[in-house]
Amino acid sequence: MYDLIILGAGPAGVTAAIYAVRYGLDTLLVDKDSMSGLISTAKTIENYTGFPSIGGMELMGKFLDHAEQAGVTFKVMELNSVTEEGGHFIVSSSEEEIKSKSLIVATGSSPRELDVPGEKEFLGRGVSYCATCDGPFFSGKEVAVIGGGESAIEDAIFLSDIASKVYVVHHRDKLRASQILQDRAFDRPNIELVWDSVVDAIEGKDIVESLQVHNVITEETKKLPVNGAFIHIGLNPNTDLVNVKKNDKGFIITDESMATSARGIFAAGDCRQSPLYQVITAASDGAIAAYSAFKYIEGI
Amino acid sequence: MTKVILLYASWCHNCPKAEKIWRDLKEEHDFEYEEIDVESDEGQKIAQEYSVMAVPTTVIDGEVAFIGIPSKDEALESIK
Repeated sequence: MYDLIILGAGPAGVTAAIYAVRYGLDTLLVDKDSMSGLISTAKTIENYTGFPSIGGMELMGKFLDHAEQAGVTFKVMELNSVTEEGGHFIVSSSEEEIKSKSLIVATGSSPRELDVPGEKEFLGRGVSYCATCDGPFFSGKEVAVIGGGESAIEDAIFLSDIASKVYVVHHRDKLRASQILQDRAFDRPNIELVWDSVVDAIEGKDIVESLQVHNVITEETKKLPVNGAFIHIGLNPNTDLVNVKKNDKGFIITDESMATSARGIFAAGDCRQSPLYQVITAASDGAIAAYSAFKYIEGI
Repeated sequence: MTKVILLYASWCHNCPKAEKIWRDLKEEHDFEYEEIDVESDEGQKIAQEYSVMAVPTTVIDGEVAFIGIPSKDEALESIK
């Protein structure tokens, strides 16, 4: 039986694993992918201390290399269930069961869907949640980014080098993205902000041909003639497998030691309720969660 | 025999994950498997034929089966 199983090998989980191994815990890190973390889909990261500009995948690769050098055991495994039995935890896939004395949940989050007509129908035919993956298909075309946060504006800037025009559809009259990104976006002549507006439908025949949007202040409606809709309206936590206290959006509630409502289960990174979702805060969560798991194991 | 085509691109960081899933399955199960770069002539033709605007995309027996990375279980189910 392991001392600790860490669910999720993004920045939070990998950092937790490095710390846990250094505390001497018999630790297993599991994830369904060999390269995980939502951050691996980011084209560039400019706010992880020590790295003025680095690709998301490159940074994630460095984290995994570091974990390997630290002696972390990493297993690719698609989880079906997480249960508790007789004071220990059982992590199961369709092929095996693994037991541990404690758990760190670092399962991250996934892009939130708009939930409008056309979104599912046109997925991969104009609807995308990843500009770095699908952006090059839209060379010389008009596209829209929906959202006003960091990821939305980063993608709008990235797309403005590829597409002929990028509309940014945001439901408020101010962006949430950092000022430096806003300044860069406002400097791009082919980025146009569509303020106070929401998307009602994504329309087209075989591929996306337009977005139906309406202004929430004036109630005016209009069609944006775009072939791409890049959606960045927030995150949904991947927390269905664990039975601990969560907020109304499903993010795990922890105390400052990353302890959840269940004894022996800790949470870290984008899957827990936090005021900020960044690589650096995920890594910090992971370190604290590993320390707390270590103290918990010591006390059993 | 089931024919699986994985469309990928050099710029796509998610594609190696999808490639690994299909390559691992190929070692354990009997099906035809081909990886095609969307930037190649053949890839462009297939992308146009199936209106593909995202990678990785998996085409199974002439139909788009997965856009993005399938889970190993989903991929296995699709070739049964």
